[in-house]
Amino acid sequence: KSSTAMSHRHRLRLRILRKVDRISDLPNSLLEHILSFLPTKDTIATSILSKRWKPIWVSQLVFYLDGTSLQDTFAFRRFFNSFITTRDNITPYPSSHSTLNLATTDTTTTILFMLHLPEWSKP
Amino acid sequence: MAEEVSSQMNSLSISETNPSSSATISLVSGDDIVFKVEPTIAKEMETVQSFIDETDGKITTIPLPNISSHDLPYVIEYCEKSIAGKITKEFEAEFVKKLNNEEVKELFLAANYLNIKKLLDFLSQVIADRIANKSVEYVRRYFGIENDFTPEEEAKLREELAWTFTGVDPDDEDEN
Repeated sequence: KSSTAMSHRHRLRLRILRKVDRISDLPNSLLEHILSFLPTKDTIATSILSKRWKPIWVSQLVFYLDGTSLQDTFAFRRFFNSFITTRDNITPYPSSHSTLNLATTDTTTTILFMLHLPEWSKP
Repeated sequence: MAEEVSSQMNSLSISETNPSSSATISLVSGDDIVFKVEPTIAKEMETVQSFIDETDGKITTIPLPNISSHDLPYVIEYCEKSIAGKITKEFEAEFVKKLNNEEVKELFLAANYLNIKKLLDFLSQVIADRIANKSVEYVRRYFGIENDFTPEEEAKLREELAWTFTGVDPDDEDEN
């Protein structure tokens, strides 16, 4: 009888433990690791989760965005422009007619944007 | 603090009386269930292996207070497959099918604690798959994240990030 009570209490404790957000308590590197497996759009969207998560996505080194996943290209461009202006070490350079690459001049980080937005590819 | 831990573990390993099992490693879950594993399994768990190495193999009972007896068998199963070189896409697909969202998170924390790189990579991918293309509310619930933005801050972010929210999946009713 007492062991049933114990296991019930144990399960209750476990459930309370699991309600707590232990993932957000992990070091940045682990959160960044999870984000590295996400599509870029979802990676950027994590910045709205909480103050803890807001800056995490910026560490991602490679972003891949294609026009089909971006239905609202105007809003995206506005976001993107504000992103570039807040990161003054980023200089955009066109690499081919269909992609636009942006690399940081900072030697420690290289941010590469591969954009496949039809409007952007037009000269 | 390290000394305290090792003396505790010494007393635990003394209680190990069966000499024939001396080669096996006993992993003790947070709820005090003992799992006997081959030393090769322990090798997969860097945290466990470094405990063993530091004591020249004298300690064979390792307490893992952060890992429950519910989650530990999954970790052991993955390590066994890994040693056997049988981590295939099929195995991973079957493995992940058994796990609910809470279990995935618990195993991610366990893999981090035990420092099992392969399992950590695999579970990062699993977590990413489960939150990809989901609403903000869904992802907050998934992790148990408390929204600490003011309504004004959140509204501003929502406007800036609106383009990332297009075409997200509708939230499931039961997400466990």
